[in-house]
Amino acid sequence: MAAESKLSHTAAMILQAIHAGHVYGFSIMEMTGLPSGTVYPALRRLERDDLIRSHWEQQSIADSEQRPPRKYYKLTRAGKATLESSHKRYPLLARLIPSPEARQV
Amino acid sequence: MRIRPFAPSKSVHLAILRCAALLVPAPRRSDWLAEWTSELWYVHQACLPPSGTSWQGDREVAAFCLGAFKDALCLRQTAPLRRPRKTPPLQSAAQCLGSLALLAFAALCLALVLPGARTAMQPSPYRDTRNLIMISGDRFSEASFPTIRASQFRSWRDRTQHLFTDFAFYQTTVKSLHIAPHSAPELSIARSSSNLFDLLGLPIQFVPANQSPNAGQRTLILSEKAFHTYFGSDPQTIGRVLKLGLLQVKVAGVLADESWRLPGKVDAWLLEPDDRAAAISSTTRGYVVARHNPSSDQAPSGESWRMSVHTPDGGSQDFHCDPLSNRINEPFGTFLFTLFLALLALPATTSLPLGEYPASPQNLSWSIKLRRWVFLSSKLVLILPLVYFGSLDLAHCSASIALPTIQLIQGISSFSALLFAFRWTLRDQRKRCPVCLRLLTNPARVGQPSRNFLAFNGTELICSGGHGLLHVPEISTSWFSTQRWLYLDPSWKSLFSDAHLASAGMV
Repeated sequence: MAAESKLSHTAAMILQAIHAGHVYGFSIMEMTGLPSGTVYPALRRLERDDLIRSHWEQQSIADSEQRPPRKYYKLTRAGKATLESSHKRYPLLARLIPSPEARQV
Repeated sequence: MRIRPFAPSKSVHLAILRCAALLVPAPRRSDWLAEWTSELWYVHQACLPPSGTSWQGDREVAAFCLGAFKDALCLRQTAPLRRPRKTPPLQSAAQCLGSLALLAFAALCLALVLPGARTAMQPSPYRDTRNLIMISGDRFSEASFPTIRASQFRSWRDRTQHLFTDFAFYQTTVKSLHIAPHSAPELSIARSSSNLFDLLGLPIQFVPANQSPNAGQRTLILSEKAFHTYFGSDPQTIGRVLKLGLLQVKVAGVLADESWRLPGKVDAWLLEPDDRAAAISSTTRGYVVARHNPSSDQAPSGESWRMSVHTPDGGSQDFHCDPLSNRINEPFGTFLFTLFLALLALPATTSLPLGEYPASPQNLSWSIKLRRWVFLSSKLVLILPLVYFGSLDLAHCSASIALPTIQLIQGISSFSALLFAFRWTLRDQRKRCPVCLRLLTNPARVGQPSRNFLAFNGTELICSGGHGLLHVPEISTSWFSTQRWLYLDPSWKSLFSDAHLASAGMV
């Protein structure tokens, strides 16, 4: 898989962050410590490669909490497969940003 | 929900994001900006205290906002390139004529801005220009330097003349004009006989009503530029007595800058009364202007000629007589001459036929046929002022160019531009659809050179409006000598867009 083999550590870390439940840009920034100028362009590239998918939060939910709606990111099936293979390449990734399953264990 | 900035710094952050959004491709801009402004709200919540300001927080928010530029550039670079539709310039008839008119107008505006070109376009400022003659030494027919001795001028003036009725003399020199105790600029002065302006018929501005400028004393006429530069256009200057070198002179008037077209760059004219003009050294060389006697038939009117006269020392000398009308009318005369030359050279440089068009094309109205010729004529008409003003601009682009060089530059540029423009006009006309006048597109090579005598070999072009095909032979033959237009019948209409057909008035 071309995307899998070319995934950088930063991209893999962002994928892992999304997988771990940090599903919007600022949250990913806070989790990974990466600057906005790195996180958002990486999100665009991952979405372009169909590894993640974005959707806007419902306006009614945001209005009820008196905040602007957020754009959420979610791993696609290809994104999950890529992340799993990235774990082999970057073994510490899962420990750096533990996923919900790992936290339960 | 909209984010309402409630602090100046937050407005600045929003402004940064909006600036960055300009880099994002338009289709994705609103979504991109919505995401970043939304995220900014959360960044504000996380980094800035609810009340007051935090230097560290502001820095973090600013760093976040600056990251938007990187994201925007990234999106811009990765966005699929939308290649703009390549439309040839001047494709439609209106575009072509509009561009030519615009260029001609720009050339005219430039000519009005350039002082030399503006002066050249104006009519003669002199009264009776046709009979005013510039006399110069025979070997210096286009003299831009003084060639006539003052003694020769006095000899002509004092002798009874049949050929000329009046003479005026001037010589240029540089003198200090003492305006104020510590202000004595050096001006280029034309020391001239008192009748110079009367002979030329030039009006002098600001002359006091009760005083003639030549009332028996030395008078000074300032150029408009010198009057403005050194006297601030103060009307009180007129009548003042100033010291010019060692001479006392009285400022008697101002001459408009465009009025002086004789050789020599002059800031002021010192008009010497007749009794004092005798003090000019006999060997001093200057310029002589004479008025030709219209009733005399000894010299051709309106043309240059040579005359042989006796010199004061008993010998004889030849002089060149050049009417001022030759100098004044030269720009347009040069243009007409180059137009004539270009029309002569045109058939030798390009083929003139516009192609073969079937006599009975389908449903072509007279207005469409006429429009094609009107278009060709309009192009030719617009080219003339464009080239005329353009060549004038080029010739007068620098104020330091001498008159013969100006004429040379104008002549060469005018001829070259006219020839090129006429060639372009014909070639452009041949490449246009006779119905909608748009440039033909999609040239395709047809046939092979080796089969020229058995089949058609050349280029085919098509009208994007579906009006027809143009066959241009590669080699002119007796059965296919020039390009041939083939009208397409209505069955082809379905292949072309309705918009083009509508623009041509065919549907």
